[in-house]
Amino acid sequence: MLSHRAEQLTQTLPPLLVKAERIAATIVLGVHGRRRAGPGENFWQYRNYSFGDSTQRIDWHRSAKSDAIFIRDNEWQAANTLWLWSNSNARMDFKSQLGHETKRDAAQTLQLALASLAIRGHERIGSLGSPFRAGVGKPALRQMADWCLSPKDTSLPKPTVLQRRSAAVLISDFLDDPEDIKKALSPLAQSGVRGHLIQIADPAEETLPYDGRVEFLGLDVPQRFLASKTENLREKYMMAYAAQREAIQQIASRLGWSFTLHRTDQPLTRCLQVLYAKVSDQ
Amino acid sequence: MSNLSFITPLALWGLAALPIIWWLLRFTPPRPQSVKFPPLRILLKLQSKEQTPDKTPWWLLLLRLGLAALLIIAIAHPLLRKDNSTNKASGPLLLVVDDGWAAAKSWPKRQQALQTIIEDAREASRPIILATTTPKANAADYKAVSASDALNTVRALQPQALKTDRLKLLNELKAQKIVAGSVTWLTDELDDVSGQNFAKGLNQLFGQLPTLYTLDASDLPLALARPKIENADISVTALRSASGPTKAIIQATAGNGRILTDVPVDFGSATSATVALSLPIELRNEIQSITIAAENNAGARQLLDDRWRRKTVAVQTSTAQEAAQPLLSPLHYVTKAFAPFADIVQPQSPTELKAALEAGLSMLVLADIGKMPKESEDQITPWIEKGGVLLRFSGQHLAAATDQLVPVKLRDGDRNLGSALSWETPQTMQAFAEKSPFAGIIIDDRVTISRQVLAEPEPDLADKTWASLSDGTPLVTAQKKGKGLIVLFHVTANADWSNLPLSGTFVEMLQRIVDLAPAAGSNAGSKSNDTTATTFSARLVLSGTGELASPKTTIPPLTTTEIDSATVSARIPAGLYSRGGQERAVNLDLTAADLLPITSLNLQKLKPPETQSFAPHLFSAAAILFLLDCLAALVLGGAFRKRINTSASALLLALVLGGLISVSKPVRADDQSDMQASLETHLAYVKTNDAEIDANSELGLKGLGLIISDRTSAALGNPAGIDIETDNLVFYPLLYWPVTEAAQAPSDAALQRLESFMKNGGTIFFDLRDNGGDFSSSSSTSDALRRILAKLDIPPLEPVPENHALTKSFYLMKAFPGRYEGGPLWVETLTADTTTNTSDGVSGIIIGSNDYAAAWALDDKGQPLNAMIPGSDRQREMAFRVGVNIVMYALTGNYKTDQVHIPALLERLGQ
Repeated sequence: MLSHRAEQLTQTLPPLLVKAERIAATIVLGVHGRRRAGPGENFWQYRNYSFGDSTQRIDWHRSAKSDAIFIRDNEWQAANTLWLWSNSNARMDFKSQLGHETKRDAAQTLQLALASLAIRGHERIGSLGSPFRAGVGKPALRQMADWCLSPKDTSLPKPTVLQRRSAAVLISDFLDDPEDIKKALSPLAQSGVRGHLIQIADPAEETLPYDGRVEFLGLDVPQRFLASKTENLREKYMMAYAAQREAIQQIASRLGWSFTLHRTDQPLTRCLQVLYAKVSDQ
Repeated sequence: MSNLSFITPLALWGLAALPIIWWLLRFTPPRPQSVKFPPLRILLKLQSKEQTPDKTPWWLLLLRLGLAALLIIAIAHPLLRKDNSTNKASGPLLLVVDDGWAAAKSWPKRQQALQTIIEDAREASRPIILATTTPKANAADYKAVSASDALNTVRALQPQALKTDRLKLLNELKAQKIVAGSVTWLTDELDDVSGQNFAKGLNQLFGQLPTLYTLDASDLPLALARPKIENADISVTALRSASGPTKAIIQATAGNGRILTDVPVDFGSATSATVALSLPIELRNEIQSITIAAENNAGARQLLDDRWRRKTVAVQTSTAQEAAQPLLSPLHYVTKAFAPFADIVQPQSPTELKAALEAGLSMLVLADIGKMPKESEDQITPWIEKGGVLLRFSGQHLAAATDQLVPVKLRDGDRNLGSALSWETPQTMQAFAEKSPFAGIIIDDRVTISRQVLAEPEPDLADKTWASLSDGTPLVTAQKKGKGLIVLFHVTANADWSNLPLSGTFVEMLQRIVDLAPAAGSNAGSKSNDTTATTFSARLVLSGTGELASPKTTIPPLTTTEIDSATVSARIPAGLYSRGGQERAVNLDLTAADLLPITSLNLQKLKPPETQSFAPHLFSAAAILFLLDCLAALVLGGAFRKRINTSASALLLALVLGGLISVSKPVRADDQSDMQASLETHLAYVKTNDAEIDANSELGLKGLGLIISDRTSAALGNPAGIDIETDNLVFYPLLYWPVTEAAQAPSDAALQRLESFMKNGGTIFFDLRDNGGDFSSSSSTSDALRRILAKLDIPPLEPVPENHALTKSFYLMKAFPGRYEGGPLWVETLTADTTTNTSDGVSGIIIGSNDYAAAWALDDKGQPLNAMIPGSDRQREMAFRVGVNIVMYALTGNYKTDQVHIPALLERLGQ
C-alpha cells in the first residue's frame, strides 16, 4: 500500500535518469558515467595501442584509417547506491489538527518515493540500518517498504560506514538532542557519503497552537509537562524550536549536507520537487 | 406573621460538609486538556517558572460551594408559611370539626388545616377541646387536652358516613358546661339552617361567634339523592351546592367494582341534575352502587339492594283474558302490582313458558290453574328447585283439583264466607307474624275475605303459613322446595273472592314475595331463600369516603320492620344489610336542602395558610449553577478556543437544536400524504363537485394505471383526487381535469399554482366530456373551460399535428378516441421557443372532449364499466392507447421526436 502510493507520487516527476546522464559521478540516480575509461557501453575515447592491451580490443575500423593502431575505450559506468533512512519511532506518530497526515506517513512516503525514483534510474537502493544489502529493481523497493513498516524504536540512524561516494537521505523530525544527531551523522559523513537531511515537521510543533491549561504528554518518552497558560509559553517555545532547527541546519552544513524541511500540511510532491532540484544542481 | 420551616431539617446538617467540599475543591484543579506532543523535550527544557496553579480559581470554588449549599438547602425543603390567624384569645380552644360525609372529599386538606390550627394553639400553649359534629353512638366527653394529644386524635380522625348533627353537639356542649376561650369551626359549609342555628348557639354559649374555617369552593361535595325507577331506567339525581363544581360523572358499579356505565352530568347553573342510567336488565341487576366519580364521599354513593334488581315475572291463567273487561281479568291486579319492580311476560303456550324458564325467570305466577299439564309441571319443578319462586292464586279450577306444586294439601272445594248459606261474616286478616316475610306490613283494615280454599290441617301447617285470617285459617301458605319456594294465596288474584287485591297491602305483599325471588337471569340459584333468619345483619358498611368496608361487630342486627324504617345514624351505619339471600341497603338520604351552603353567616373566615415552597426554585438555581459549572469546566479545558469538535459538545448542540426545531416546527398533518404522493408516481384527477364524475375519474385513471402497468415499464400508484384549491400539485406528472358545465374559475392562488405546475413540466389534461364537441366550437363545457382558463397564461393551441410526440410516444396513433369518437386533441403549438423551455417541448395543457375517463374505467374484475359510443372493442383499445400515449408523453417528454434516435430506429427497422 505504502509503496504503491509512493510509486504513484513519482509519476509526476520526469525520470531523473535524463539529468543523471549529463551529470556524471553525482550522487543520486542513474547509471553514471565516471568520466574515464572503463567497462561500459558508451564510447569514451580512442587511444593508441600500447603494450599489454589485448589485441581483441583493437578497433580495426579506426585503425584502418590511419597507420596507428587504436584501441577503443568505453566510459566506465557503474550504478550508484542510494541509502535511505527514515525515523519511525513513536514520536513520528503525531498528527495535529493542522497537519494532513502523521509525520511517519510523510517520512515513509517520501523515503519510498525517492527509492522508487532511484530504481527507475537503475540505481541501487538500500535501507540504512537494515540487515539487507543494497539492491536493484522492484524487489529492493519492496524489501525497503517491508523494512519501513517493521517497528523500530531508535530515533537516529545507527553509525554505519558506507561505501565512498554513495548517497544517503535521512528523513526524520530531528527533535533529538543536536549533539546526539551530530554523533550519529559523523561516521556517515566521514566515509565521504553525500547526505541529505529532510526534516518532517507538524505545523503544531512549530507554532504550539494550544491555549489554557494543557498537559503535554511525550510520545516516545513517558514524561509529561503541565502548562497552566500555554499562550504565555508560546513565544519561548517557538524560539527554542527555531534554535533546534538552526542546530540541525548547522550540523548539515558543517558536514556539507543539504537540509530540506517538509511540513505535513504541505503536499509531499513539493518536497520531492525541492529535493529533485537540489539533486539536479549537483 | 410568616415563618420559615423545613420539611426535612436534618438535611441541613449537610451544610456542615461544606468546608470539606471547599477543601477538596480547592486542591482539585480543573482537569487540563491533555495533548500528545512530540517536541516535549523542548518544552521540558523551557521549564517555565510560572508553574501550574494547583488551586481552583476562586470564582469556580465559590460557584461549586454555592451549588452544593443550594442542593443541601433544597433537599431540606424550606417552606415559607404565611399564617393569617388573627385570633389571639387565651383559654382552651374549642375546635369544632364537621366530619360528616360532606367533609370527606377534602379530608386530607382538612386534616392538614386541623394540624395547622393545633400547631398554632400549641405555640400559644392553649389546650384544645376537639368536638366533631356527627352524632355518636355513645355520648362523648369533651375535655381540654394538650395540643400533642389533640394532634394524635386528629391524625386518627376519619370522616363518617353520617349527616352532621350540630345542634345535638351544641346541646351536649351546653350540658357539659364547656368553657372555651375561643371557638374555631372547620366547617363543611353545608346545611344552612343548622349551620346558622349552631353559630347562634355557640354565640350564646361562649359569648362569641366561631371563627369559620373554610376551604375552596371546588372542594364542596356533590351528592346523590335516592334513585328512582322511571320508565324501566334508574333515574338518579345528583345534587350540588350553588358554588360547587358544575360537572360530574355518575357511575354505576357492580359488586366486584366493575364500572357498568358512566353518564356525565352537567349541572349548568342548577343545583341538581337528573340522569337516567339505561342498562339491559341483566346488567342493571348487577348494580351494587351508584356513585359520582372522583367524589370520594359517602353522600355520593347510593347503594342498591335486592329491591332494585329487576325481576322477570311470568304470569299465566287458565281463562282467556278478555280485553274488553280488563278489571275482571284474573291477572290484572297482579300485573299492576308487579309492574313497578319487575318485567312481566305472559307466556301463551307451554313452549313460550319453557323459553321463559330457561332464560332465567325470577317468578312464575299461576292464577287459578288447578292442574297443570304434565309437561309444564316437569319443566317447572326443576326450575323451582334451582331457586325459582312459584306464586299461585286460587280460584274455581284450583278448588276443583290441584297438582303436586302446592305448599299445603288442600281440601276439595272452597269455603264460602258471608254468603246466603253461611252464617259467618267475611273474615279480616290477622297481623303478620314476625317470622313471616310479610312482617311489618300494615294491613288495611278494610280488607275482607269472603271465599277461600282451605288447607288440610297438618302438623307443619303453622310453619308454612305466612298470613292467616283472623280466625286462624291460612290465607297465604308457602313451602320451600329445593332452593325455591312455592307460595299459594288461598284467594283469587282478582276481586272475586276478596278485596285484598284492591288494597295496598296486596302490593306490598307481592313486593315482599318478589324480593325473595332471584334476580332475572340468575336462576343458577346463588341465593338461598332462607326465610328462617329473622334479622338483617350488616354485610358491608359505607365509610365516610364512600368506600365499602367490612362492618364492625357492634352493629346490631335489625328486624324487617326496623330495616325498612332505618335511617342512617351512629348506631345504624349506611351500608348493605342481609338476611339470608335478601339484601337491604341503608343509604344516607340526602336532599337538596342538605347541600345548601351556609350563606348568611357573617363570620370571620380563615383560609388555610398559604405555604410557599422554595425547593423548586432552589433546585432550578442549582441546575443553572451546574450548567454554569459545566461551561466553566469547558472554558478552563480550552474547549472554546478551538472548533467545537468534541462529541459531547456536538451532542449538546444537537440536543439544543433538535429541541428548538421540534418546538418551532410542528409536524404537519399532510406531511404523511405528501410523503406518500412523492414516493410513487401517481396520476391525479381534479375533483369536481359531482360525485359521479369524480368516481368515474378515479376508476378511469385506475383502469388506465392497470393497462399502463401491464404494457409499459411505468409503475403507477393509485390515482389521487386533487382539490384544486388546497392540494399540492407538485407530485403529479399529469392532472386529469374533467370539465363540468358548472365549473367555475379557481381562486387566484390556485391559478397561480396551476400556472407554476404547467411551467415546471406538469401536464393538465382537460376533458370536455362532450360527444362530438370540439374546444374550438362553443358548447356549455368548452365555455366552462374558457372560464377556467381565462386568467391563465395559456400559450397558443392547435389540434395535435402530424408527427407530434403524442402520436408516437408509445403507440402510433392517428386519432384520439375516448368514449366518443371524433373530437380532436388540442395541445400547445410547438415553436422553437417551446421546445427549448423547461418543459422540454411537452405541452403543459392537453384539451380533449371524448370523455376519456369513462372509456378507461374498469370495475374490480377488470371489466369495462361504460359502453363506448358508437362502440366497439377496438375503440376502447384505441382509447386506452390514447391514455398510454398521454401518460408516456407526460412522463418521458419529447424523446420520441428527438432526431438523435432516428438512426437507431432506422437500424432497427432495417433488421
